Amino acid sequence: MQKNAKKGQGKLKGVLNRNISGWVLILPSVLLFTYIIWRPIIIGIAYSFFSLDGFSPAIFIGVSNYKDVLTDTNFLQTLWNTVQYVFWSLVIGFPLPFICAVMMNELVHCKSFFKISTYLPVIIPGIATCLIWKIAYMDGSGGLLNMVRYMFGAEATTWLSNKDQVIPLIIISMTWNTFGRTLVMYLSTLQGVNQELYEAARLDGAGLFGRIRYVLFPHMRGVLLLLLINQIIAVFNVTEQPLVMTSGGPNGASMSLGLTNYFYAFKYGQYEKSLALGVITFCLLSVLTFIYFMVDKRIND
Amino acid sequence: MKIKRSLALGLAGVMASVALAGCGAPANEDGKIRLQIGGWPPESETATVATYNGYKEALETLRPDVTVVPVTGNFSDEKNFAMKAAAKMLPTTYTTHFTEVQKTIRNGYAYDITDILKERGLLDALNPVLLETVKGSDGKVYAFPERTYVMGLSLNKKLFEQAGLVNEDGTVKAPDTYEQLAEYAKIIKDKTGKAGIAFCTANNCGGWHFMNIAWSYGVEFMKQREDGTWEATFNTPEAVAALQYIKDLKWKYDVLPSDTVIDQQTGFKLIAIDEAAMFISSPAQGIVSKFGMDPMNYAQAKVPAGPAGRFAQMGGGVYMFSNTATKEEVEAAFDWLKVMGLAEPNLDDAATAAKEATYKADLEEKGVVFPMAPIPVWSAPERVAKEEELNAKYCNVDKKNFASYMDMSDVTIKPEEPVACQQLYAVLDGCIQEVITNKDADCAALIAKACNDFQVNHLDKN
Repeated sequence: MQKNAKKGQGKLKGVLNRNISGWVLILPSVLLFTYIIWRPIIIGIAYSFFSLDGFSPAIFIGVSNYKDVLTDTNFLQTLWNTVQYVFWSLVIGFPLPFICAVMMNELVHCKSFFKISTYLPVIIPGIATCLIWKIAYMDGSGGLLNMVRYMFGAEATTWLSNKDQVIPLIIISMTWNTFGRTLVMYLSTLQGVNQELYEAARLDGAGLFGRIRYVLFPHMRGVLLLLLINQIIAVFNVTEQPLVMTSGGPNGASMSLGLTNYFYAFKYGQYEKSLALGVITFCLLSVLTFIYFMVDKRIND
Repeated sequence: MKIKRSLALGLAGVMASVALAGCGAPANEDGKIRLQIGGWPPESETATVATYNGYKEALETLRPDVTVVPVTGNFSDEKNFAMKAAAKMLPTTYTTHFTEVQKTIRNGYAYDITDILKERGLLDALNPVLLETVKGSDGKVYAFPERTYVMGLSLNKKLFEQAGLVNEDGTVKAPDTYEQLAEYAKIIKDKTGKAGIAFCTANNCGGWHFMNIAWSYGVEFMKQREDGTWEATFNTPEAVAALQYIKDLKWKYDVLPSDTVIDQQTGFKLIAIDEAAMFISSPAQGIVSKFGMDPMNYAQAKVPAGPAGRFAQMGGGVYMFSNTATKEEVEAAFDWLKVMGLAEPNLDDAATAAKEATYKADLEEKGVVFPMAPIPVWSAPERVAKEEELNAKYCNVDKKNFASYMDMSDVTIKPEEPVACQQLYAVLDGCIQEVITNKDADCAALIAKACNDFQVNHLDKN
């Protein structure tokens, strides 16, 4: 036992000694990570069980903050909205970059032109995108999309002020903004596909869909799943788009958990609730990620 | 190898210490009082900055032991405020709105100025109505009222003229009741094609403006129970009727702008660019300075009357003082306010000169000086008269078109609701958005839900 412990210590020492310059070099980053990222996260979780005096914890109140957040009459509606955001982003935003990447990969001419064109919206700042789309979606004769409708002789219609449309419309604007980034990742993965396999499939008489099914898809599965999880997490936290475009309206129809959290903290100064809701969101996402890994493992096995 | 290693070690050490070094507390230079003044104008407002620099020079001559340190920005911006306050970085004195005063007192970020006001003869000179709103539950005064506003109707004279809504003397024919407002709005819409009235729906502004209408319909939003807790009391037919009124503006009269997400700035813009004829607001400099309305085109009326009377909301700006400041620093801050012509019970020559400087800067920067607010900061009539005389020298709007607003004799003026008013506004924003986007909205159900939401989510958890 003692021997083992000693051995372990010796081993640790060995590891440290062997790479001492390496350890020293990463020390600043480790310190910064701890100080700037891990410390606030842990403090945030701890503080969510306190009532705060300004930003300092005053009284330990257990799960009272959580109760306040969960019993809010709008919590379930907001959670449901958030799920809808994720749902629509998977329907609209997830397949699109993949399909476009496959199509562009098949292109012979103008590849760079399309690559650059699809990537351009990514370099527009997020808030600017929101404002552009807000103008496009404006009700009445001033809205860009309504102007297009006028051109075709149709009447102006309502966009973001329609409760049933507001979430998909916001998702369309988000997809427009970010799909270039995902597309580039797909493209680079596609270019890693062994061309011999591709040729072989072609010679065996596989059409486009056959090639996608038997060559591309198995190769891309990893990156597809990774981006899926990424997207779910990113969209689950959707905040600035509804903040800029609708303020969560009409009547809370586009309110998301992220925006609720933002309002708690920065509109009403209820930092306790904001922390508690942050932890709740974190837990929900952890559960989702865990389920994903379980499913992934089962499929792999 | 060894040298390399120690070099790496040394570098890492330096980097880590640089990264972890927090900012130290600023040192007092030469033992002078560092007086931090919040609400300093941004650099872009050159004329106003020049005026402030003039005040700074004056104070530093008057009090050689003081150095004025400008801090830009209004502290009504909550994001900014809470963080600065928590980090004990509030300036010695900072500007904010009446609505924020109680919260700031409760959070313990305010300095009790009762004694200073008394010593300087200000306590009796200030308008007692205003002092009442800046007192804590302990009866002490925590803020110095700088200016006030009373809500009314901002009007676009051009659109009223195009619609033929003018009196014989050429002044704008302002609506006297909410019913009349809807009728006039309809006339304007029919004759000019522009929105008769812009009504706020977003960023809590909808709820805020709705207060004036709801009170006039007889709504009481909350009352304190005997045990000190609060009860939401607006699930009433009066509140339903007030909400129905907004719904009618959209679906019966169709006089609202086509854009349905409207906050205060959007409303200002619509009035300024002749896209809407009326907007619930106090006289707003922003309509002229930001959106370029001609001051002579600006008309202002008092709020219309509803079935239960004529109610207008009152608010304004105050100076508050940091809880971490010393008495000497707060005294110095009051000297600053005196140099600005604010904290001076008698309008002496120096104060008059300072006020004139402010008016001149306003004219140059904002392009507009409105008549004096109908609720004066001071109680003595002579003082008010003097101020009005001074104001008349610079006021550049057509006073005839402000006549209805200046006569507040039949208006009941109310401060904002006492508890969780921003949350109340948010809840009401939701109702307003629903009724103007959904033709089949059920006002009674919306009000019932709003009342319950406000009780459960906010009052019970306050």
